[in-house]
Amino acid sequence: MKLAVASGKGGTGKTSLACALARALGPRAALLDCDVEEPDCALFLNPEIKFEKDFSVEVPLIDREKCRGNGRCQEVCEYNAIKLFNNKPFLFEHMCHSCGGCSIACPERAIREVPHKAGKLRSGQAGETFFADGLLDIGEASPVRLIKAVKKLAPPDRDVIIDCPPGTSCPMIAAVTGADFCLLVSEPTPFGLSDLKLAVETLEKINVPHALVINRADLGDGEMERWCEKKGLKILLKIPFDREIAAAYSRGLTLLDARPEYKMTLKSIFTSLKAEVAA
Amino acid sequence: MKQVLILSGKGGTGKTTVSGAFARLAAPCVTADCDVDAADLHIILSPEKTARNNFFGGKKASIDPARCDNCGRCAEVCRFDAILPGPFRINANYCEGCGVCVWNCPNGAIDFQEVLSGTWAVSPCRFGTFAGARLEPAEENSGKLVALLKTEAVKTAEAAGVKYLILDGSPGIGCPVLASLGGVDAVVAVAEPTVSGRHDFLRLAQLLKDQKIRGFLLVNKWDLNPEEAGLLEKAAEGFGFGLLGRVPFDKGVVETLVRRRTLGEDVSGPAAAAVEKAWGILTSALEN
Repeated sequence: MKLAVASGKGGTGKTSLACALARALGPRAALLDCDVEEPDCALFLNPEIKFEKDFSVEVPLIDREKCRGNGRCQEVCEYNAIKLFNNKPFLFEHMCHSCGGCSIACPERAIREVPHKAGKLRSGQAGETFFADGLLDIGEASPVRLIKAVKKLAPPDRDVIIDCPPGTSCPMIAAVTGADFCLLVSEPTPFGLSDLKLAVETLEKINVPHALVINRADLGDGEMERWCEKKGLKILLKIPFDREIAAAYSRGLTLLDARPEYKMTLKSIFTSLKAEVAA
Repeated sequence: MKQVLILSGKGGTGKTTVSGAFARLAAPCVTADCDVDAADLHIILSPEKTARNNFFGGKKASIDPARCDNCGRCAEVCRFDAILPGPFRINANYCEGCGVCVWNCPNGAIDFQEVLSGTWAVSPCRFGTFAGARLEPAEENSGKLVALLKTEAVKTAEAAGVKYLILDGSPGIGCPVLASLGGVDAVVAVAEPTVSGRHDFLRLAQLLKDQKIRGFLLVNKWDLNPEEAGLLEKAAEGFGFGLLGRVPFDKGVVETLVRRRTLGEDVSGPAAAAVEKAWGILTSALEN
C-alpha cells in the first residue's frame, strides 16, 4: 500500500508521524521524503545513504549561428521564458518549466536541451526500512519533477509511506497523486481547521481516500471535531500535546522514542487502512 | 514605505501569528497574505467582505475524444506525465499548461483553455488594509498569484502613504517564496529550536544570502530546547542576521487565535510581550 502523509498547514506533525509509521512497520516499509524544499526525515531516521545522484532538468541551449530569429520559440513558450530582442532570443532560465516545446518548435533546429542541476536524489537504509529523499537546490522554483523522481525510487514490494510537502498546490498534488490513501495530520486550531478543509477539498478533487490524525489534540477548540462529524471525516487518532514528545522531537527523535506505546497503535492503524484499501 | 516579509522555511513555526501581531503593532499599515495555498491570516484580521477578483493562472489542455485518433503524439511530447493512455486523456492534476501537446497534435484534437485558479481582494481591516488571495485547491501557479497580490499590496501601501507593508509568507523555499521576495526590505525568519527547525532555517538563510536580502531571526518556543535555540542564533549571526529575541512557549497563543484576535490585542502574556519587543528591535534597525 502507498500511504501519503499530508496536512495543508505546515508544522502539524507530518514528518514526525511519517517517520514513526516507517519505524513501526520496519522491514516491510519504504519511507519517501517528498518535502524536497525542506526534507527533514533523514534527521529523524539517520539512514545509511547508499546511492546519491544529481537531479537535473532539461533547459534549452540556443545555437546563435543557426538561429534566424523567426521567433517561433517565443511564440510557443507559455511561461514567457524566451524573449526576442533585436531578433535574437534570450532565455530567462528561472521561468523555464523544461517542457521542451521550443526545441521541437524551432524550424532551424537551433535549440537543443542541456541538463541543468536542480537538486539531489538519495536512497539507502534506515535500519531495515528503505529510505529515499530529494533535496531541491536553493533558488530553484519548482519541486514537482524532483518529487516525482523520488517517488520512482520506491521498491515495488514494500509498503510505502510518503512524507508530503505542506499546502494544497502542485508540490502537494505531485506527492499525493497515486497514493492509495492519505493520512491528514492537523491541529485543532482555527488555522489548522481552515487548512484541513482545503486539504480535504483537494483530496476529494483528485480522488484519494483520506482520514485524519489530530495532533496536540488538547490545544485549541472543539471546532475541528464538530466539522469532521458533520463532514463524515474519520478521526483515526488523537495525540495530546506532550512536552516529552515536543522535547524529543526537538532533539531529532521520533514519537516512538518518547512514547513507545504508539508503535502498536500505528501498526494497527496501518493494517486496518491496508485492509480497507484492498477491500 | 518598508516591506517586511515573514518566512520560516519549515511550516507551522508561527509565521501567521507573528504577522498578525506585527500588523497590529504597525497599524495603520497594509498587510498581505502571500501564503495563497493555505491562507490563514484573514482568520485573525477579519477583513471586511468586498468583491473578489478572479485570477486566471494559466491554461490546461483537454483532449476531445471525437477528434482524437489515438496516435499517441501527445504522450510522446508531454514532459509532465500528464497524458493517460488509451483512449488518451489528460490528467489535469499533472498538466502544467505548456501547450506542447496542443500544437503537436496532428488532428488538432486538443483544446487549451484558461483556468480559474483562484481569487483575490483588497479590503479594509481593523489595522488598515488587507490584501488576500485564495488559490483553488489542487491548482497551480501560486507564484504568479503571489506576484500579483504583492503588486496590488505595494500599490495600496504607496497610495495610503503607510510606513509598513507586512507580508505573511509561505513555507518552503520554492516558487511562492521566491515570488514574495521581490523588493522586500527585511525578512523575519521565525524558527523553532529543533533539529529540523535549524536545518530548514539554514536553507532559508542561504537563499536570503544569495538574494542579498537583509534577514532577522525570531526564535519561537525557545524554551522547548534552550540549547538548540542558542545554536539557531549562532547560525543566524553567521549569516549576518539581526536577532529579534526569543518567544517562550505559551498556551495563551492558541487561546488568542481561537478568539480570532492577534497576539497581545486583548490579553497580554509572555509570548505577546516577546513579539512586541521583537517589533521594537526590528523597527529601530530598519529606521536607523
